[in-house]
Amino acid sequence: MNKCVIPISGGIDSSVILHHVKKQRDDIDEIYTLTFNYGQRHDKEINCAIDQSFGNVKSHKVIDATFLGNLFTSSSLTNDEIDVAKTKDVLGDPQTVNYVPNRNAIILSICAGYAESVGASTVFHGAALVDSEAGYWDGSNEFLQSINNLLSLNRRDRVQIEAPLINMNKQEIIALGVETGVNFSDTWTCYEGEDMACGKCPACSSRIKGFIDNKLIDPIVYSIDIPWEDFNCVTI
Amino acid sequence: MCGIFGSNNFSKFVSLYDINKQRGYFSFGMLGARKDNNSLYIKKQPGEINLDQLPSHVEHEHQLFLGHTQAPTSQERNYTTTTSHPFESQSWIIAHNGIINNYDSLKNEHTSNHTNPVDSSIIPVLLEKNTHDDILETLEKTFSLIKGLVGAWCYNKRTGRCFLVRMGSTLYITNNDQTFSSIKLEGLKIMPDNSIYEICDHGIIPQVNLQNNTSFFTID
Repeated sequence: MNKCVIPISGGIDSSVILHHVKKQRDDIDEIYTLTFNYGQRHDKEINCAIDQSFGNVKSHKVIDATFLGNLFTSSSLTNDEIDVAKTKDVLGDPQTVNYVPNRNAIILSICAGYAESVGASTVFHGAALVDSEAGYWDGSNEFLQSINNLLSLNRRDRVQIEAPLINMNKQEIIALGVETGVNFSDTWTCYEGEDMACGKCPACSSRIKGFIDNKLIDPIVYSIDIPWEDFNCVTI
Repeated sequence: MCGIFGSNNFSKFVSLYDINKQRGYFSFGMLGARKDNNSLYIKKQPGEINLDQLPSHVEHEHQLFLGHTQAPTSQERNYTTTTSHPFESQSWIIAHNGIINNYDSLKNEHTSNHTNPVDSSIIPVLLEKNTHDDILETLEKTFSLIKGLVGAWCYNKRTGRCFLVRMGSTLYITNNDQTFSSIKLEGLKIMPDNSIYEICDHGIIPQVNLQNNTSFFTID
């Protein structure tokens, strides 16, 4: 029996991976998901992760890693005193204030350990093309290769990290999500922890662009007017 | 990703370097150009530089100073001049801040043997390949091919004309002189996204609008 572990944040990328694996990966029999509460201001995404996992997986656990928020005070995502950087102010920045120090390596290390313990040989990582553009080294191809090199040292229970979206843009990811039946209403992307998505942070900006490029209206609510009609977008 | 900056005033250029250093300590690159386009000064080196120790003729004989600070965001981690900004071709010298997502396909479809591992190196190659009588058309055709983030200065060696390109990457400019910077400073305003501007004697002026080839939708 082939098992896998998917860290699911509740955002689009990990939700699309979950549905892609569930519906299109015949080589995977059982899915285990982990969601990390690392003290992120947008903890609304955790409820989305629960919704996405419900009925689709063998086991879903929410990991209390809120201590990370107390340690990683340099990030706007884990320190409420630092404003979330908006796209128009930081694009092209090598590492923005929205970056959470070494987060992906920490999460993937825990997932790899969990995979070993449940007998899974694959961890699916939600890195996408836009991550490198947004200034996240831990979403790059080089990072993926390096962490796999590290895990390959394991002498018995080797775990491989796969990142099926790593060379895909948001348009392609959302199209894959539509194809595999993702309910985008139950996904959360915005870095701000508000009731409505801000529409201006890098996470919102790439999400909106992905929907526009698919000529679709994003079903979540934004606090600013998004001119969907100017781009001939229609409801999913 | 990196920082780009420039000025017609050397002291201001030094100040801009100090500020843009935070975007990349890996290496420094610069171009000094004269108004009469008679000689160019190019400097590249790993790590930081003390610009006060440049030969005095650099400041006195040039009227436009264009700089670049590099973070090690490409696969290349060892400093070599061939993998560091600015990049040069027969007619162009360029420096770039951003990431070119379709670098591999550009290499395969538009060049025969381009092996430089740094994505920015493809820009002068494409500018040469798309050369047109109208230099603005050359720039428009070239940057329309690129998908990703671009903040760039492009100096044309034949004409002495210099252009700024912004597709996504932040870039701030003045109205009344020739100052620009990847980092926001007092007195600078954001250069409109998806556009090409030209650095002229009387300021930095709009020349071409480009389509949005970035992965982001922004509302200013």
